[in-house]
Amino acid sequence: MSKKLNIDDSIREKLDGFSAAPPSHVWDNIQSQLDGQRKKRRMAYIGWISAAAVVVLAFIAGWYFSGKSIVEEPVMVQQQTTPESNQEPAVSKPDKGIEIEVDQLAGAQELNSTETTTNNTIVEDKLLAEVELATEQNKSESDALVASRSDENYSLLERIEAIFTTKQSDVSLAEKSNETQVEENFAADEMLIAANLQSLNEQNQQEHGWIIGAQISPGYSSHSASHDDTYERNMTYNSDNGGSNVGGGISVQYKTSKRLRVESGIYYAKDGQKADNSFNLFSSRNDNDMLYAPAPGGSYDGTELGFSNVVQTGSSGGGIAMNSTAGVIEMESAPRGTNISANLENTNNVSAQRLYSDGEFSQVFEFVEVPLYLRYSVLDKKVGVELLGGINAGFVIGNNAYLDNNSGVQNIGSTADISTLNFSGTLGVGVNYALGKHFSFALEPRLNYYLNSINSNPDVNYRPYRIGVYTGVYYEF
Amino acid sequence: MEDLKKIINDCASGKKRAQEQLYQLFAPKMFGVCLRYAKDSTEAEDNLQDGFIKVFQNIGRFRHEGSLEGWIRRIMVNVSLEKFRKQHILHPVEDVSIYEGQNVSDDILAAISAKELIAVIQELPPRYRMVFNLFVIEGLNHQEISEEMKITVGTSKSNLARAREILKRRVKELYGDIEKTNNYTAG
Repeated sequence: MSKKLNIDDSIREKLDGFSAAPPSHVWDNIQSQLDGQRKKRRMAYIGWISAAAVVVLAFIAGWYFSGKSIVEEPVMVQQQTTPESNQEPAVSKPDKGIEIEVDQLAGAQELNSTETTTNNTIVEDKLLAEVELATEQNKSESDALVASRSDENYSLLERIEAIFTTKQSDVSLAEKSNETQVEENFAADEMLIAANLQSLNEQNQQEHGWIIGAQISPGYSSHSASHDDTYERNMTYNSDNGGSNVGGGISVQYKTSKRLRVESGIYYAKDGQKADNSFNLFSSRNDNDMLYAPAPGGSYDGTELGFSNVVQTGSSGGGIAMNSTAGVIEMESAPRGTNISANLENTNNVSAQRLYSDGEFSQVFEFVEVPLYLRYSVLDKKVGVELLGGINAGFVIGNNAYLDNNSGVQNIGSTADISTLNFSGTLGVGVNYALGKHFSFALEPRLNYYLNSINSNPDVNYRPYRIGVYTGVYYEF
Repeated sequence: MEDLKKIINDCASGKKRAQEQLYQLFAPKMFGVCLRYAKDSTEAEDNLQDGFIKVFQNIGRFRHEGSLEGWIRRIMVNVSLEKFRKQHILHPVEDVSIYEGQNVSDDILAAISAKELIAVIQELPPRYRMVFNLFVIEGLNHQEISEEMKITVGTSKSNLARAREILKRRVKELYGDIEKTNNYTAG
């Protein structure tokens, strides 16, 4: 090897590993520059959040301006308490099951984590040992270099001359032989870095990831409705009673940032209303009708549950049609245990008839809802708080009317003109409790409100809403 | 190396703490690199800053193939070269014939510190400094240097030779005494 290498070598040796602490203001500058970029990104998030806010506002406005509003709410809330007591035992059982399971899992996880920490220390020791070995190797190498150098018995002058007269092509050759040494140094550096990192090892929360969840929701559903005048005239009873029910489903969430998540999934929900004991309303509803209506018989004296409404026979394929709150109910024949009276006194109105029954009438719609929600984590601790809002595509999968009288519960028909696809808005607050690293238990009161009338008949504006307490577990990958 | 991977991933998703960790790990060494390419420490600081901004902006593209240090180092060198291209397109080159015949021994180089050596390198005319760094320390050949700096292979070669000359002269001027003292003590 030429002597020329020695000067390049020694310069490289001296400078290659050279490091100097940069002044602290350099990092400050970097940070502020990066912050500037972050702000830009944050602006994009603000765009998203304001879009969500618009949805939420539209939702609230829709509710507020939809004719029947806040005044009716107390009635609904009162109703809620009685039926829900029936539901509760059925709901609490599966809950317990879930909790126990989750506890066990959390315990298992703790065990795992202690195991990994011991592993970590072992790995650390091993790495340190390796690093020591590597540095020792390097040392012996450089020792060898020094030794070989002292062996050279050139006089100082000769050496200097030799250094600067050799051709440069030799240098590039020598360069290659040096490369291996440099690479070894890198490997040693990397191991040192690894050892440093091991000591720095701290758990960071993942910013991106998937979360799946399963919820059941005991809830209360009702509606806001308004009708065309003519339609209303042929309907003696306009129900505003809600019903309690159980819904539920599974959800998938994707974390787009530490605080923001996008959620979808599939939920089952029931909406509907009951018309129990409508006689009181009947007698005061419409004075004109009263003139022609027969007095209620003994069994329909208003002390027991009973139902009465105007119907039209022979209108829909030989069946009976009845205007209800959610739309025209089409029955093929008179349900068991009902009576139909005709207003024969009035020849002009011979087809207008009235259906009577004891018992309870109810109208039920079942939905499968596919949501698109945005979740914002307000508090991200052991106990977390989240806000959620968004829209659902609601597919009507069940549309039935029931009469529960002396003859049992009968499916008396379905409501006409119900749209298959409808849209609803959802607002909610979630409280969740972390049960270990992956599982969390959540309680989320949500309000779901249909943005359009689910009945396409222009005379009927029927928009169900539902208040549910979604209870369930989430698993975060 | 799993943790370095994690830091890299966290940096890619813009986590502040990971960025700081990465900076703490590599900044001193990279400052050393920048110092060699700059005319003074202010310029080196600027290059270090610009380099790390580039590192954080592009770390998502790092493929975990080569060493991260090598990758960051290349960014620092590129930033330094870019700055050089912008500033010194028509930088006059001194006639170095006067420096010829200057000799310096390994002993002097061995005796002076890295810091002193860097100070001497910083005094080099900018293009000589670039070529010298790329050839001697980064290990590029003249072909690669000529492409990197948009100069001919001949220019690269002569720049390297002249850089060596100047270095030798300056080292001898500044630290020649050491050689004498060494000789005396050795003798």
